Amino acid sequence: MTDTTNNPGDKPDAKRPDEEKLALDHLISLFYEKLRRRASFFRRKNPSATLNSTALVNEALMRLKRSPQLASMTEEHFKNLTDNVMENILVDAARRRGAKKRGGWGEQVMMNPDEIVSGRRQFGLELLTHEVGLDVLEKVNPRQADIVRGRVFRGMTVKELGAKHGISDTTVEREWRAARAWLEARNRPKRKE
Amino acid sequence: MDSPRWQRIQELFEAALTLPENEWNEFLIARCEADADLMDIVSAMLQANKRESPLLDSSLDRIAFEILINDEDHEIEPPAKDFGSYQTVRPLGKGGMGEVWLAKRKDAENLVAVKFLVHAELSPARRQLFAQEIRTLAKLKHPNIARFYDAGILDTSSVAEGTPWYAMEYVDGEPLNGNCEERQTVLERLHLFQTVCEAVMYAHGQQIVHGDLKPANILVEANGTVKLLDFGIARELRQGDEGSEPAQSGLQFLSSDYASPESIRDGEVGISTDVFSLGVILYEMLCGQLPFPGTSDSADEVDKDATNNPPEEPSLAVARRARSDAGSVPKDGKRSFGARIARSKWGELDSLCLKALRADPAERYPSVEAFLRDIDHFLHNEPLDAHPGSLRYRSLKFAQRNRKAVLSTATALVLLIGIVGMFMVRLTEERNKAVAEAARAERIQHFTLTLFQGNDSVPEMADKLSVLTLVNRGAMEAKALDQNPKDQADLYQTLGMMYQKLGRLDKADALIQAALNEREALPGSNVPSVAESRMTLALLRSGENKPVEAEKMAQAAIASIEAHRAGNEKLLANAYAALGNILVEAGQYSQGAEQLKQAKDLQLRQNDSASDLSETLAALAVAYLYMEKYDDSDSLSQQALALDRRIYGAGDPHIGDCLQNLAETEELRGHYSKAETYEREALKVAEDWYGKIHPETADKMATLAGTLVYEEKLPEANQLLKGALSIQETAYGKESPEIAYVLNNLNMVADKQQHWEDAIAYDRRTIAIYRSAFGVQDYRVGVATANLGSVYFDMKQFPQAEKLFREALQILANERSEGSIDVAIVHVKLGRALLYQRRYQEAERNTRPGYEVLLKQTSPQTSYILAAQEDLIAIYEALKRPKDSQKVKDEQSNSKIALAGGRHTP
Repeated sequence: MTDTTNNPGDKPDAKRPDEEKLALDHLISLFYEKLRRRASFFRRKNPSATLNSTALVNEALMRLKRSPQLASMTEEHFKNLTDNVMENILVDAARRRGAKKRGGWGEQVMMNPDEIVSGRRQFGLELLTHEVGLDVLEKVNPRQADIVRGRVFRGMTVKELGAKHGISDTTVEREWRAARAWLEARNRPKRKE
Repeated sequence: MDSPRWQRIQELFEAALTLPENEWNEFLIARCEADADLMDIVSAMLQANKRESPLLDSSLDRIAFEILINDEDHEIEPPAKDFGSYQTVRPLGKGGMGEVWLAKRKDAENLVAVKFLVHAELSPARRQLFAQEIRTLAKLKHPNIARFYDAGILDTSSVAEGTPWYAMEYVDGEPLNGNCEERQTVLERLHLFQTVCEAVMYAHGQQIVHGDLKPANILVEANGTVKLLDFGIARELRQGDEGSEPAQSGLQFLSSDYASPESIRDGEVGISTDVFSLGVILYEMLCGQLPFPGTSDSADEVDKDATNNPPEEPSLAVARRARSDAGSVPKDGKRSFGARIARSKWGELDSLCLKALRADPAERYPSVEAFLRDIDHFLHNEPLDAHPGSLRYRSLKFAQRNRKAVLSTATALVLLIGIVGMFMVRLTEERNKAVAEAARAERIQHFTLTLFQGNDSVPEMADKLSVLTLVNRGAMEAKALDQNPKDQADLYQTLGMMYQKLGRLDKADALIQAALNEREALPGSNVPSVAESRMTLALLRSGENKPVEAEKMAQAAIASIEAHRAGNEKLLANAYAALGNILVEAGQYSQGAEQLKQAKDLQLRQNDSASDLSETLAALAVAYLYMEKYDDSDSLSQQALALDRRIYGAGDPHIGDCLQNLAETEELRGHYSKAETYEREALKVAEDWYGKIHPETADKMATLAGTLVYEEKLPEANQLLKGALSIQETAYGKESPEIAYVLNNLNMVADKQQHWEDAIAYDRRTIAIYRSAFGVQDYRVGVATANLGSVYFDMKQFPQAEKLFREALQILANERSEGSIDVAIVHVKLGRALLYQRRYQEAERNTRPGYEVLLKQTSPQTSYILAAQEDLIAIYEALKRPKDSQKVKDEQSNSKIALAGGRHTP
């Protein structure tokens, strides 16, 4: 996973002038605040309000156009950046929270599966374990990994994913189902018969 | 795992899914060929497929929420347990920017609230904003704003190294909208709101705009103190800037319910933003719901453009709710929203509230101070039912000077006044003597000086704190004097009297009660001090329109003083004076005059009661005025004048008041030039004392102008009135009912000069003001409508005039009976309009009853009577009823002939 001292979602070997970096910092902040804001609405039990990343991205693009520092960036590059921002923000946050707890998340792994199910969802832990899994999946089938990421972190629909990768809806569904099952399966302690 | 394997896994998985569940095991055993891992994985996948996945199936919102915001309760840990000189105790809450924890100083027991900026690393913008929050908070030192103490960054000893934090005053209270419904009257809520406004005003004075005012940020402590929190996005106003760009574009912390439309749209924040938020808060306090409900996150959807979507008037909302609540059983002790405020007053509250909520910032109150002032006006104009019958337009002014006559000269009061400088009482030699004599004065003086300087020993702070804040603080600190009940009681008494002067009758009440209780509990004989408190309470009751109770209390206090007469002459005299005032205020003029005379006699004999005597003389003058004993009234006014010149010096406003009273009586006698002389002098006093541009001066200008109008000195009158209008518009706002009196007079002048367009314009403006301030059915609207009708009449447009008179009657019928003067006058006017259209029968039907009502008045509006008589004569001649005509002619020669204007004003 990328180190957040660079810009999340950045290719590790890219170099950037400072101004651009600063502007990107702000952009990241923007996403973070939006995400947080939406998240806080969740508390207000507004189940129908879902995050529309497309709208977010468009808004960010508009701001981008206004800022001179980022004028040289292409839209494609921008998209690359922004595609993974949400995910990275959340992963970072989960990491830090894990670090704060005594012994990190490690202790939790040993918990009884029933406890996990009946108790509060340990989202941070889940996220981190899934991240590891996604990394593995990416090496084997990058398209499938992207489908998961797109669906979970970017709110993309089946159609959108199909269009992006040039595959049919059924294929998307199928790949999602399998990937999802696999990721979940990894998490559960093995059952010994 | 490699690609082929993954393929295999998926194939098996897919295949198994086509089979029923009980066949999975068998299927896998067969196909996995002893690859235990493979079998495990696919089995697990099949199971997982059936279940819900906590994370993968959640929306991004939910995930974000869980990770960024939610915390498992049993696992909450602070960013640091031990840092700087503090130790964390327990969590207090989460805000938009971070976590707030309760902490205590390691070396002491003080509790503080510490705010940590979480996720600082994730957002550079946050760090900047946090730093700004600290800078802002450090500048604000106000008793109603949570105080800043300390700040820092967590070091390597904490896991969350690098997290910035700051410590501030810990406020243990409920949010502002927490308990509104349960316990408070509208007045109490308004007072609370005023305190909030004052704190915000203070911040603005420090060039700081809050930007996120909402009830959650305003806590009320158990003792009733209000504290503002969370100047989280407070903006510093640059010199000459009204608004400012937000520090980071795109960072929108604003809770849309309370934020102004322009700040949501453009992120601009300024004074008017805070005004708007205060308006929303007030709205919610008044009627329990939001003016713009159903906000959403996106700026596109929020439509607070009041021109499209004006909020419902609070009064309507309350009424609606009352109707729908009508069926339910009221809970014990729950007071209804609308209780205790007269229906006509709700109109004022409505406009007050809605003005702060205008979509266009330019149309809102320009400052919190203007907002506060309007609220003050509202609170001070609590409708005393006008003294029965006459002189409404002047008598309010006349009476007000004496209405709050306080049982005076607790010497501490003098000192407080002297220090604060708001009441321009000069310390005279007499007073100084009294001060020196009072043994406790020294201690009290020290106290008030401390109060003045505040805990920070920053004397200039007092300039920035309003008088009310000072007194509030005094009340708080007086509580600390529990060791000295006597002093404490004295202070309570003093502060209570201050509150009364400031119009905070509820707080005055509480404090005087407390003083009374303490004084009664003191050992030994305390008759004088107990009586003093009782008398003050009695005066309070009078001010609250409870004359019966007031009188009873006053009588009881007097009885107790009389029984312990020795050496208490001063107190007794004051008591008589207070009772006298109470009675006059209740309309019992001659009884009141009796008491005041008694007081006067006593005070004349005393050496050190000059100022009390002056008050008594003035009050007695007023009483005689109401009794229409003009000569007696004058004599007393002259005495008061002479006395005031001695005590206060030539240019003091007290002199001005005396002069005004003298002018009043002259006018009632019809001696307009004498009245003019007095009024000019009074105006000069006001100009010298208050300055040429001051509402008090404007008041005197208007009064003088009124007299000049009677004398037909119209150009000068016009000039004065325009000047007064301009001052008042600036002071009170262009739509404030305060300016109606002047507008009325301008209208009259324009009418006399036959500048019809102007007259009509003034009248229409007056009507509009009354409408919006008092409601479309208010009697003042009726009177103003009739005045407009008179203009058309003078233009000889009789049908139009008739229409307006009828309209006026309709409006007046709501709140006035047929026997009231206002109705009678309009009837006469209408009759005349009909007469000039030769509709004699109809005319008689209006003029006659109007005339008869007017005849019964003790202080007749003689011009109208004359007019009615003339009209009736003409009518009867036209109807060929000579006997009736003759009768009226006889009555006419019996009438007193005094000149009054052709217009009456509300």
